[in-house]
This record gives sequence, structure tokens and C-alpha cells, in this order.
Amino acid sequence: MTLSEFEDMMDSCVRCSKCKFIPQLVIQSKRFSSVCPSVDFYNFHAYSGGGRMIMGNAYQKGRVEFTQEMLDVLYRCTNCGGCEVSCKWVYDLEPNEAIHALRVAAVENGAGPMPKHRKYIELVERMKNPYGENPAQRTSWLTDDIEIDASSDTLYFVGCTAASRREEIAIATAKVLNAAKEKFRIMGSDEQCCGSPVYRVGDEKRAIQIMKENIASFEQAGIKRIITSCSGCYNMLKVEYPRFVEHDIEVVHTAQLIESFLKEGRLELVKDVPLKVTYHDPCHLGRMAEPYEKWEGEKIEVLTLVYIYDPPKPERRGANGVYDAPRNVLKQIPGLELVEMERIREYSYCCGAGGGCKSAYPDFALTTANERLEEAEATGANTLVSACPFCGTNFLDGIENRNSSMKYYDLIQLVLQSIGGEE
Amino acid sequence: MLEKNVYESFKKIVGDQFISQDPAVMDTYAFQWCNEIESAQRGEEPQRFGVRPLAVLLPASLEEVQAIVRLCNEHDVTFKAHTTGMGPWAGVSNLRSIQIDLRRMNRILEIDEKNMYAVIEPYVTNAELQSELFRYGLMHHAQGAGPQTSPLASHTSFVGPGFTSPYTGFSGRNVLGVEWVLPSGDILRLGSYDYNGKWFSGDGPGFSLRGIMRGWLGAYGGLGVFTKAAIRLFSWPAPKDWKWKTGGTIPNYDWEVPPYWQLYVLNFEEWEEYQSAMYELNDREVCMVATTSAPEGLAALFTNTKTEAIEAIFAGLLARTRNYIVVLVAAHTRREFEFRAKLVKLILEKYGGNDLIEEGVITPKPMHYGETVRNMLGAHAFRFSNCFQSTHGGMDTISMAVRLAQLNQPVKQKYIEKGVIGDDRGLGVWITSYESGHMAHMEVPTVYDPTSVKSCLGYAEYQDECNKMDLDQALGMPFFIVGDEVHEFYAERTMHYPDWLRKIKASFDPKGLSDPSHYVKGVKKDK
Amino acid sequence: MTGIVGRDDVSDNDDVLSKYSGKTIPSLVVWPKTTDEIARIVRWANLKKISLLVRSSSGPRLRGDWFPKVENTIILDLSKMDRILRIDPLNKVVMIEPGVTYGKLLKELTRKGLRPAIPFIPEASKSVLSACLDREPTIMPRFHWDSSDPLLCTETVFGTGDVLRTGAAAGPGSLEEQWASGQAQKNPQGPSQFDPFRLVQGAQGTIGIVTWISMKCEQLPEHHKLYLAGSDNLNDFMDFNYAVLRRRLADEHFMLNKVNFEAAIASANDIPEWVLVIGVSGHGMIAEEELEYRTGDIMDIARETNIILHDSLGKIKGTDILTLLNKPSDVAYWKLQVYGECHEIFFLTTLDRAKEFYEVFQNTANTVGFPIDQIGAYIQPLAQGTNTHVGLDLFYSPEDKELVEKMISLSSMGQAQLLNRGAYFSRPYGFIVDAVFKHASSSTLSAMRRVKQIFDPSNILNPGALCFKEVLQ
Repeated sequence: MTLSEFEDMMDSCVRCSKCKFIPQLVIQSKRFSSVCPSVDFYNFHAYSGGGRMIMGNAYQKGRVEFTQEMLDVLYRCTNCGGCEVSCKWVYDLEPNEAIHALRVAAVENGAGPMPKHRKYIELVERMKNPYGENPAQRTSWLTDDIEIDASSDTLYFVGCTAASRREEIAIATAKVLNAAKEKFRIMGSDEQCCGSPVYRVGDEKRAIQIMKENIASFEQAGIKRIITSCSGCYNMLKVEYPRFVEHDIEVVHTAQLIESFLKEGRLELVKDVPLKVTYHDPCHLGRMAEPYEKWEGEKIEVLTLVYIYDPPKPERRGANGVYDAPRNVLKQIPGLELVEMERIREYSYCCGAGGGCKSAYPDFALTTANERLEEAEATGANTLVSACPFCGTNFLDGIENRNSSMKYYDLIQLVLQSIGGEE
Repeated sequence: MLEKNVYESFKKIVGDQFISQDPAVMDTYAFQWCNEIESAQRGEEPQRFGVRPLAVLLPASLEEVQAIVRLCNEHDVTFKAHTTGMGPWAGVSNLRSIQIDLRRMNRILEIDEKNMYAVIEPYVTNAELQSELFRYGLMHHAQGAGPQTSPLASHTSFVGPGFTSPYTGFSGRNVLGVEWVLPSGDILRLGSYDYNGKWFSGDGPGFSLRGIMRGWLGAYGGLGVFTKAAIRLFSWPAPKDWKWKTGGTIPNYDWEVPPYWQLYVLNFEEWEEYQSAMYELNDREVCMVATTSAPEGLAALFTNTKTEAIEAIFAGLLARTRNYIVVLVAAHTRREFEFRAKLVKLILEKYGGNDLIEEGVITPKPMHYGETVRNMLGAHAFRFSNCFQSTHGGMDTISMAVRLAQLNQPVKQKYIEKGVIGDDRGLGVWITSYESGHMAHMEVPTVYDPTSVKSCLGYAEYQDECNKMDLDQALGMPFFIVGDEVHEFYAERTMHYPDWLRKIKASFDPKGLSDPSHYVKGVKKDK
Repeated sequence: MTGIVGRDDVSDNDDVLSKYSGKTIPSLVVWPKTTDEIARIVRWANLKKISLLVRSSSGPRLRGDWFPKVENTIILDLSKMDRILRIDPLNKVVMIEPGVTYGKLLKELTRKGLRPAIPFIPEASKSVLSACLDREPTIMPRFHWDSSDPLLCTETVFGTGDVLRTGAAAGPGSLEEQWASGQAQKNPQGPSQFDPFRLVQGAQGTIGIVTWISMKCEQLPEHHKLYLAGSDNLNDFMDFNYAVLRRRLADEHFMLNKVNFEAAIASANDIPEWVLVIGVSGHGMIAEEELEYRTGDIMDIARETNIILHDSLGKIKGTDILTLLNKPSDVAYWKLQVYGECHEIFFLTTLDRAKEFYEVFQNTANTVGFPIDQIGAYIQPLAQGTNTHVGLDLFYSPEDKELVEKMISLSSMGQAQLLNRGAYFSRPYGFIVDAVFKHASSSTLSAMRRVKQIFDPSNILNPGALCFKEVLQ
């Protein structure tokens, strides 16, 4: 939807500030009550979900033009959706969608995205990845003992970060799939960025182009199912792609897959992993992972000024993210103890990397990682676990930055350890 | 725009990260809930953008706040303090005005467990304070605006009803020592805090300067900036090792109800029985919560989504619901609980009522207990249409609250029939009692459509009629006073009180720098 | 004055004037009977720049202060305005004029099934209204929600001569209209965005003259018991006190030292150094069960905090004490029955510091040679336990000149010591007034003076009191 289509919605913001905090009922302490890293770091109301919605409204009404500061406000946001979860407790509003729509408007206007974003978008176009890595090196993470089945209709979509920054995740994924005897292929050097970093900063046109290209190449390769170990790619393929490009390829995250492998007895967790861990719910595997179902219907006034939708509109509020699968897996790892942070599941606190922030606002991304690490440390855990290489990168940077004794692992790495796959 | 040198001077106080004059950022302070009613009344397209401040500043300390206010004095800039900001009173009205956003001043400074008070800064929220008080076995009075809003703002500056009011009273009556930057830039410390650095009393020596601070309504930001407040605390009726724990996923959370807690919905056929029961229940101090809404409101209170609320309404809840009291009995001991539960039942029988929970008409889940004490129930009214506001608000006795509800019903019904406000058959109210029934207030939450000119104007007309009703029929004063004109409307029948308010304003803010949008402008001075 | 109130209600007779005299003798005593008369007097006083001092109680002055401080003061004695205007049992409120005493009030309220918040055995002729205006502590902290309780609404004539009804009584509408709409002048706050009643309360007559008040009451209980505990160490009661206050279980709840217990209640052998007094009640439906549960929970707390509660102290029964607590002092005020005179000192603190301040004062007494067995103490938790009134009564014989000197020294030195250590003289009288306002910050003084300037710009109301010294300079 465009800003103009959101105008009535934006007019309805009550400016109540709920968007700055996790849902009020689940607040357990003052220290860990907030959900929005952006307003936590930058403080002006504009930096909250509701604040950006008001900015979008102001722009839509022609009250403001894009300035550097307005762009900074707009882009100093991981678009994590925390604001929307809290807002939807009470209101029928979508601040996170409005933020995206404002970014799209900024790009259409030529004002956005930020220079660092433009740079990496250009790299995506040229090199199929935002890191500027040589496409030919895309599979350099592969080790000799990993088996690929080029004829499989299951694709392991590695993703740019796992391929070139967090290779240990790609390796672990491949090895775990092998151990479970799950045949898969990869796109190899043909693999193109899922488009997330392009889409999230509002370059919707280019992002849609990437989506179309990717779907075409998947279909051409006869792909029926995609496995991904990256939450960002998961969200794109599962949630954003279907908004613009029809496809019926099944998309599954390794967390979900491992859970089913364990249920089916295809994997055995035999080795102790003696760690006390806490699990960070990646936004894109959690609250953002609910598909945006197409809805067509009518708005019916059932009581004066009170409308319902017929048929009922799906209530997309983050409840159906992938929260239990990773936890179920962790709980089955022998020797491992799972403790929870206060901000979990649909009200998890973003790692700080997404939405273009790691590139354009590295200080903000790092501070946010630090905040989350402090919360992890407060649980008494010695290890932070998540299920996204991009979160992983930011947390590892954070651990180094704060000289933390915390370890970080991706879920798939612990699974590999526990199946004895590291020997 | 502010002159460059003035802006630079402000920047020097807070640092360049903590000041902005960007129009888009300013608009996020200009935009306030209910501004659309005022803009519709002015014949404009209803919209929530009000006056843009010329700059927004984020001070970190009392010293910075004082420096800002002094600079305002030097350069004739008006200012309005602001915390989480929910409503037109939070915004500025003068064109040459700045917003002082107190978000960075968010510490809980002290919790005196024995003497039961907490000292807080402006941006501590109700949920944050509440969650930190449990380990002491304490709670505070949180205003109905919700857990994400500021108790300091409520206690020093803005009304203060709340769902736990039978037990925790009214914000204006719970204030102790206060630290206050006057519009002149002087710092006023109230009561014992001025005296010996301890916060236990907000009064004296001699008379109490709380008298100029807030009154029943609060100065709504029109008389300076409050930087610290000590507020009274109350016993939290749960074992000390009880923890606030939730489970599950939005919107259907679990919540661990403490032992000796029970919700009731005591329903009475007629207002007379309702009134008698309300008096007796509250006088006997058995309720932490004793509150009334419309039958439609009941559907919203104990459900989790708009759909569920509407389903409850259409499943026949309305037919079974008349004048009800939501009662929460929350006891410290088994003995206390058994006594209270027995008495509730006896009172129910005495006045011929029935318990809608017992009869399965509505079934609160454990999480609704949590929402009740976290003051989240008021927000449920937003689920219907994203918007409501209240008319009336008068606070005196339970009898007046009931009378007001009865008199208001046909008036509201008139506007419902015009199709400009939500349909609750005119029965929509919020009545809650205070301090074991000594007082009660009544306001009328009213659903309207903020994007429709017709609805905004209709709501405004209805509000005017409600105000006139209060005036003509001696039904107390409403909450939403919008500056001098509305004060004038009440003046003659309310002993010309605005004259005194204006003198206070003129004396304490002679330059008129504390933005008076929802206060008074001060005595006109001869040139 | 005779033109306004009539000849019978004005006097310049020396005997009469002497009753209202201190260092300065007033010029007239006037007994107004209506608000209108008072307003006219005040307007006249503004024109003529004549100061007014209001009195509502006859009887002893134990705070050393309620006398004119400037020449030509006219005393307005409001004791003839002695009507109980309205009793509303449903809304637990009574409306009274200044001349209503506790004796009269208790009698009338009892008939209607109500009880007021009452100070500790007040003097028989004490004006209820003026006690409320003075934030006089009352003995049931559970019902003391805000420091201003039990005072609710007022009708006040300010120093300008303007009349304002404060709180919900301001309107909209007349009182009759308010009653017709179900109101009972319960909300003391406002009107609107200020609390004029808080400016008059505690002002010692410097801001306005109050012609009636509405006052909070409670239901009279059918079952009412009183328990006592003793200790030589005040702090032994502390945990018990805090726990009971937090739970809002008790009615009457205060402590007396032995001197005051014997002076006010009864003498006996073996009265401990400190006596804790706790009342428990039940009223209405299943009143007895209410009493039972409250008592049960209090006893549990007592056990947990090592306090043993008795329903009597030797021959002195709790029920007898209860009777004493629910009526004013006999015609001779109990404080005067000890040695003939009494000088009152009081301040606010928190309960956990009461003992500390008491001992500081005792040490000072020892230093100046005032016998500590002539110092009564009354420790009264207020505002449901948030702060505590500490009252020290210095009993002395006025004939004993040496002791009078020592009493004066003790009052002056002792209060200064207390002040320096953080005792908060929120209601300052006598020796401590100047020190209190010297200690206050300039912002506080400035704010108070601005308030005075608004409500009594001619400074005709009790000039010289509190920090309003201008006239005396």
C-alpha cells in the first residue's frame, strides 16, 4: 500500500506512545520495557513507530519535504515491527507498514535511500550481493565433505551473509541437512541476493525486479521448496515476495526443519553441549514472519462507526511467527540449559542490524546490539543463540565491542555440535 | 523559525544531539489526538496537526531544564513540557514556542518502602514503576490513560482517575514533595523536600503550595515544568515472592493471578440498586477496583480483539447486562479474602443483583486480571474505532455520577441517532469511585471517527451540549477545559474562579511563557 | 462594626479584650454571624488598612501564637456561627460553621450513625473547623488519605473581601442545585486548576476567613475494640506499626509516652515508657466478622513482629479508653490538668525517626534542666503511614517562674535542634516560626508571598504570622 492509501490510518494515530514499549502487559521491569531501539537511542518522538507514521502523514499532506534530518529519522530504524505489535494490541493501525511506505516515497522522490544504501544497491545490481563479493566466490564456503544434489527440487538458499560473512552457518546448515539425509541443491554463483536490503530501504522497484528474477530462476530450476538459514531471506521469500510476485514455492527456515527432523527421528542429538543459553528471536523469523495474506472483501458497519471486515481480515499481529521451533530444538540438546530474556517472541528487541542500519548507521546498530547483549547477560546465560546470520554478525560485533565474555552461536551450529557433526 | 543565535543558545544547553527544528520532527509534536475536533470546529478539514513548535529540546537534568526556561525568559519564547504526550494539552499553542521533551529524565530516584512513597522523574511510565515496586510489595496509583503514560505527569499536572481508585485514590491527592521549575526559571521545591531533602510531605510550612500547583485538574503544562515528584504508594496484595509473569503469545497471554484475587461483574436491573450497591461495597473497603462502563464496554473490557468484543455483543451480552460494577477483590490473606468475598455476595443479594461472570455472560481470563491492575482496560475502548474521547468528568459523589449517567443517556442518544458518534444506546459511561467510596467521577467515553468531518463536528456539538448540561444542571465540571474561553463559559456559575487562576498565572508567569493552551492566559495587563 | 453586625456583637470592653490579648491588645472583638457580614468587614478593613484576626475556639492557647501582632487589630470571633448546616450519612459528610465544637459535632453525628476524624482528645471548646484548617492530626490514619483530610470543601472570604466556595462546592450551580443533582461537596479539589482550600488550610488565618467547611466522616461501627501494647523502646513497635498501616487494618492508631498516657487517660502502676493504642472495628453487614478478620490479621502481624496486644493495661480497659477517644476532653482540658499549663511543640517526620527526635529533645531538656517527666509525647502516623506527627507537650506550672524560663529555653533550643536535624515544622508556631522561614528557600518564600499578594494584597489578615512580616518591619 502507498502512503496515500494509508492516510486515513495515519490520521488515526492516537500518539499514545505504546509503540515505544513492548506490549504493556508483558513488561516485567523498567530496564527491559522498551521495544524500539530507534527511539531508545535517539529519543525524539519522531523516532518511534508512531512518530514516523506522523512524518509520513505530514509528507503525504504536503506539510514537509524530505530534509537530511528527516531522512536520518526515517532510516535510523530497522523496520523491525516491534512498534506494530504493541500498537495492534489496541488499534487497527500498521505503523511499520507506514514506515516502509514512507521509505518507498523517499526513494521515489529521489531523496532516499541513504548514500551507503545506494552503494550497496548498486553492488547488488552488479555483483548480486550487497557486500561486493565476487559472485564466482559465492560457493567458497563449501567444504569437500558436503554433498549437494544438483537435481533436487529443494533449494538451500544460502543468502549473502551466510555465504560471505558467516560461512560457519552455511557450512553447518549443509552438514546438518546431509546428516538428516535431506537432499538439496544450491544456486551456486547464480544465487542472487534475496533483495531484503534493497526492499527494506524503500527501493521497491528494484526489489521487485530482483524478486521477479529470483522467482523466475527458481522456477526454471524446478524448485518446489526453499530452505533458508537466514531470517531476513526467510521473511523476504515467504512474506514479501508473495505481495508482488506470485509463487507457490514452499519456504522453510532451518529452525522449523530441524524441529521436524527431530520429531521424525532423522537427526539425533547425542553430544552434550554444556552451555547456558538465551535465545534471541530474530524479527524476521518472528513477528515479521507472518504472511501478508491478500484480502478482498467489504468493510461493514456493524455498530455506528464500528466496522468489521467481511470476510474477516487476517489479524497480522506477529502471533504466528516462528517462536517455538527454535526453542523446541534447543530444549532437546543435551546438556544445554535455556533461559529466557524478558523481551522475547513477538516482543523481542531487535538486534539493530536490519533495515539498512548496519550500513548507514553502524553506531546505532552497535549500540542496539549492546543493549540486547546486556539483556542477554542479565539472564545469567553465557551464550546467546539466534537463527539469523545478520543478527549474528551484529551480535559478534557487539560482543567484541563490549569485551563481553558472552559466546554467540547460531542455532544450526549448536545442532551440528550436538549431532557430533563437528568431528 | 527561531533566530539563529537563540537556537544556538538552546543547543549549547542540551548538546546538538538533543535539539531539533526539523519540520518533520516538529510535526510529530504538533500532531495530537483530539486536535481534529478543534480544527473541525474552526471550519477546517479535521486533522490532528496543531501548532508546530519551533524547536524540541531533550534536557537531561534539572539544571538543563532551568537553563532552557531562563533562556525562554530572555528571548520571549514560550514552552510546554511534555512526557509521553497523549492529547492536545501536550502540544503548544503559541507560534513562538518550544517543546521540552522530558524523555531523558526517566529515573526512579527512590523507593521508600516503609513510608510508602516513590520519587520519580517525568518519563518513568506507569508500567515501569509498577514493575519495579512489586519486590517491595507495593503499587502506585496509575491513571486511566494507561500504563505507557507518566505518573509524574498525572500526579502533578493532569487529572488522575484510574481503575484502582477505590484503593489508590486520585493522583492529585497522592502527591508529596515536588521539584518544580517555575516559568521564571526559579526552582520551587514543595514541602519537606525544600526543607530537609526528604519527600514525605508536600505541604507547608504554613499553607500548601500544592494549592497553586494543580487543583482538581492540573495546570496541563501551563505553569512551568515538573522535574521530580514523590507519590504515595500502597500495599500490593500478593506474596512478596510472587512475580509478574506472562506466557503465551499476543493477544492471548497467560498471567499468574495472585492468591486471594477474584473478579466479579455485579449486575443490577436499575440504577437505584446499582447506586446502593456501589455505596455499600466501597464504604466497606472490599474493592481494589469498582468500575462501571456500558454493556458494550463490558464486551470490550474482557476480550482481546475488536472481533471478540463484537462477537460478545452480538452473542447476547447486551440483553443480559444493565447497570454493572466490575469489582476486583484483591486480598492479602485468606481471612481478608473470605470476608470480602462473602460480603460481596451478601451485597449482591441485598440489592437483587446477579454476577455476570458466575453466569458465564462474560468470562475474564487470568490476563484480564493483569490488565485490570495494569490500568490497561481504558485502552480497550480504542479497539472499536481507534478513537474515543470523553465528555463530562465531574467528580463528587456516587449519587451525582449516577444522576449524570441517567441525564446524559437521552442526550447521547440524540447524537447516536444523527450517526455522528458510536452507538452504545447512550449508556456508555466510565464511573469509578475513590478512596472507599468517598468520591466518584463520571465521564462518558464516546466513539467518533477522527477522519470524518461530520463525526468530528458531531462529537464537538455533543461535547458542547454536555458542557452546557453540566453548567445548567450543576453536574460538576468536565475534564477537558481548553483554555480561557471554556473557563469563561463556566465562570459565572462557578464563582468566577478563573479570575483567581488568572491572578496566579500572572503572578507566577508574568511574561506568559508557560504555554497556556489548556490553562489560562493570565490577567490582561495595562500597557 | 456595629453597622455591619449590630450593637450586641461588638465589644471594646477591657475584660473582653484581655481574653484575646497577648503582647498587643486588640481594638475590638466582633462576632459576625453570616458570611455576608464577614465579607463586608473584610472589604471595610481593606479600605481602612485595619488588620483582622480570626478566632473560632475559646479556650486555652497552647501554641503561643494566636494573638494580634499589630496595633488596632480587630478580632473576629466566629464562635456564634455555630450551626451544623447539613449531615449527609449516605455520603459520609457534614457541613459545619466555625463555632461548632467537637462535643456538639460528635453528639449530632452519632445520632446519624457517623463519626468524624477526631484529634486526640481535643479541648471541649475547640472549633472543629479550625482544627481542620490547621491540619490538626487525627487518630485514625487509615482514613487519612491526603494530608488535608478530613477537610473537604469550604466557603472562604479572602483578604480581598471576595467570597469563594472551594472544591466541588464552587459549582457550577448553587449549593441547593448541587444537592439536587446528588452532590455533597465531597471533592475538595478545585475548582478546576487550582486548590484554593490548600492555600487557606495551614495559613493561620493569613489568606482567608473560612465560614463553613464540609468534612469527611466515616460510618459509626457497631463493633469496636481497643488494644494496647507497651514497651520501653518506641522502636519496638516500628515493624508492627508499618505492617498494620500498610494493610489499612486498624482504626485508631497512635503512641503515647507514659507522661501523656497518664495525663490524658489514666494513671496506674507499671505504665510502660511507651503505650501503643490500636483500635479495630466492624460496621454494617457482618460487622462482627469484619472485626474478626481485622483483629485476626492484626494479631498475626503482632505475632510476627513480637508485639503482644492486650485489651487492657492493668485496670485500665481498652473500652474505657475508646470512650475517652470519642469525646472531647472534659471541661478542663486534660493538658491543663497536669500542672496547670502546657506548651505544645509539634512537627512532621517519618515514623522511623520519631524516636531519634524524641531523644534529641530529651537531651536538650536535660541540658536546660526541664524535667523529662513533664514532657508528654504523642506519635501519630498520618496519611495512611506516609508521615508522622510528633507532638511534645511541655507541662509546667505558670507560678514556677524558674521552670517557665526553662520551658522557654527548651522550646526555643529544642525546636532549633530538631529543625537542624531535619524535623519538619510544617505547621510552625511560636519560637520556631522565624527559624523555619529562615531555613526555607527563597523560592518558597517568594511563592508564599505571591499567594499572599493575590489573596490578601492589603495584608490585613493576621499580619506578622508565618513569613508575612512586612507590617511588623
